[in-house]
Amino acid sequence: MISRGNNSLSDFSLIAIIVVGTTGANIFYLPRIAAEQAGRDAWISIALAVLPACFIAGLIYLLCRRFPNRILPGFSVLILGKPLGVLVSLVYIVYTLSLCAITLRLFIELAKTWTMFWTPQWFFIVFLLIPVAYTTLQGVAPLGRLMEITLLILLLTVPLVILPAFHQFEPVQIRPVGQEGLLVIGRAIGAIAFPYLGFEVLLVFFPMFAGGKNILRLYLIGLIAVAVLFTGSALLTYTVMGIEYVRVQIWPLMEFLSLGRLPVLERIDNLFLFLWAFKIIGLITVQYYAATATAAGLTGQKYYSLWALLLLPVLYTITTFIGSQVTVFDLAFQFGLWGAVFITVLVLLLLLVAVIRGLDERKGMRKP
Amino acid sequence: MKKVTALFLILVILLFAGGCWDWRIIDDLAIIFGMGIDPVENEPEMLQITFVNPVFNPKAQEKSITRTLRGRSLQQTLFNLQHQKGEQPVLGTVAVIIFSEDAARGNGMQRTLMQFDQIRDNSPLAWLCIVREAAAQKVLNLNLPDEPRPAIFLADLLKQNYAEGRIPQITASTYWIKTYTPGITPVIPVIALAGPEGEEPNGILLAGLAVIDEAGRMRGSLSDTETLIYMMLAGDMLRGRFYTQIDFPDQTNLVITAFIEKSSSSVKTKIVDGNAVIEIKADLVLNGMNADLAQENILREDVFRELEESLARDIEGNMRRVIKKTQEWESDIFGFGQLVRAQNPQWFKEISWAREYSESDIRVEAAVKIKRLGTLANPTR
Repeated sequence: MISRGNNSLSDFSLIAIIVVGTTGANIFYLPRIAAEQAGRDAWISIALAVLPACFIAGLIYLLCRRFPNRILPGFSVLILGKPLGVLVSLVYIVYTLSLCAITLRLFIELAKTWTMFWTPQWFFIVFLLIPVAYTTLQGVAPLGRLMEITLLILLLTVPLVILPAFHQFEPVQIRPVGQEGLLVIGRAIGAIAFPYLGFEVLLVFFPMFAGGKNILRLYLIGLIAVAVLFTGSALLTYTVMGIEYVRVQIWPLMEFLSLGRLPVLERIDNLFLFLWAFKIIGLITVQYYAATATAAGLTGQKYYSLWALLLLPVLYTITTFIGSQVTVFDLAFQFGLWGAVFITVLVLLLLLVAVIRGLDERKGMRKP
Repeated sequence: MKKVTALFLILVILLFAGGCWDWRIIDDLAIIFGMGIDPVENEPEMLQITFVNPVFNPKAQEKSITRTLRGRSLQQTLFNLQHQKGEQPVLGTVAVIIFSEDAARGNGMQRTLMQFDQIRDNSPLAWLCIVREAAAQKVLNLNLPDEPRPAIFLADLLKQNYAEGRIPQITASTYWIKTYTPGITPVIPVIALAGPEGEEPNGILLAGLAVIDEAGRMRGSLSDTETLIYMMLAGDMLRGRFYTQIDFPDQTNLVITAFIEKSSSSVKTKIVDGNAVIEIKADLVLNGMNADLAQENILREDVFRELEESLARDIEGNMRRVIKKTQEWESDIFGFGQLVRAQNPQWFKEISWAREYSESDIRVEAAVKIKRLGTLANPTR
């Protein structure tokens, strides 16, 4: 059981955790993979991809509110029994660590291509993981504050994304709207699932929110903010650079950002990358905390700090294990697809069994 | 809060630690701010590239150094530059890239720009231009009376003329965007060397726009006046000035200079018997005009109307002529093809636009609205 006490998070923290925990390095290449799948209507697919995410978010809320004082390992054991509940929690730990590792590698690929060619990979991993471990060890309240600050830094990047579009905005690049057809637009949603993954951390964070009544509304606001960020940046990239040019760029958003310039600021792309490093640390921190809290939930809260340190070498190893740039992108695609399936099945299974067995701690539990 | 502050400080310090490996000392860099590309005679695979970089030594006699090297690619030439100069060349501040007409008409321009695009720290906002009947190397070695660095002078010249609405903004990035986008081909400003007759040139002037085809080769060029017509048709005219000659009652070849307040055009397309029909309606609002009109009083409705109609006819004729020229070169520099694609996507998928464009039926209608003339009621009295 999790006691709220000093570990409670504010409403703003919830939005911050969802936004920061979801948008990673994927924003830099999302316009390309979406354009490859849905052509000129790629922005519609990106916008619509939030709908299945919102649906799953709704299911997660329905599941978590039945157990307002428990996190995933607690209620999964209660619902599925010990062996299956532990297994589900272990798979979730592997899932969150993999999400961290892929995000980390994507960011390293980008940073090493764009600006820090000679900086070794180990340094990136260590540099990004030090604040992650520190924040995780401090507990959920500093994590919430850090996510709020990170969200504010994220807001600073918005004008940087809009700037290159001045005088170069060509709406004809995305016309005619709907040309590719509903089937293509719908199919593309599956291919761009990875960028939206991460919102399921509510499975772990739910008991820490003080304002329990507004959780679903805030959760959806967070997800819609993510969709606006993804769709807006992709839309600007398409209308300025054109679908065909975006398709040939490995990191189209960075190419787009390199077109902007201010009298006092020559390289907007590099500034954006610098600010986005905070965002990457934020995402990894949220997911890493979820993994640590789940592990501690299985073994007992007194081992929380130990898990926070023990999982670091595991994450380091997974990150370095991923091979070349091709493997990183391929893995991100596969993980997006199977990760979405895993989360959907997990939540549906837990909710269904909980409903059938009448497990609901708000009303007082029926004896299982 | 202290923990969050400590964490934030750790983050900021760590973010700068990357400089341990990727540090660069500015004195050890060859910061290139201008490049000139020429072909090598009888060696089509080779390129001759001229680089200009500033000199930071206060005791140096020159403000910048110009070096010309040969190589099979831009990267190879940059290696050669480093061997010669010992400093690491960086392209992030290139202000202008000049191509000789020979390089632009061959494959030198497209090749170099593709290689430039792949260099990770390039300058996507570098201005492009083509020099007429001279080597790019010569432009970068000019002795200009008012600016010792021709590359900087040229970049400023292009920027100023863009701001005045006389040329479009053509940079390395806009070139590639137009090259990749179906239904439009790029243009590049043309410059020429100028100077007193019989003496070495000591100036640079803008001389129109080069028309590039789908393969990235220069097919021809538009004159200065035709460039303004291009600007109107392509929707690039933000504000500006133009001059022309029209026939007016009792006056022929009347020279007119007008200030354009607003230029807009609407384009409708349809497919008739398998061919594209493009109907363009151009609207021009003029605010201020200099014309030596032999009228007792020009502040009359009929004078305004007559001028508007004559100018509209003149602009229509010029537009048709410029469009015809580009149709002969199979180069849709105005981007009509983008609208044809947007309005007839299925038809567009099955055709080659460059060929279809040359056979398209393009109809032009212009309307001119004069808001006010000059300051004299009878300029010829």
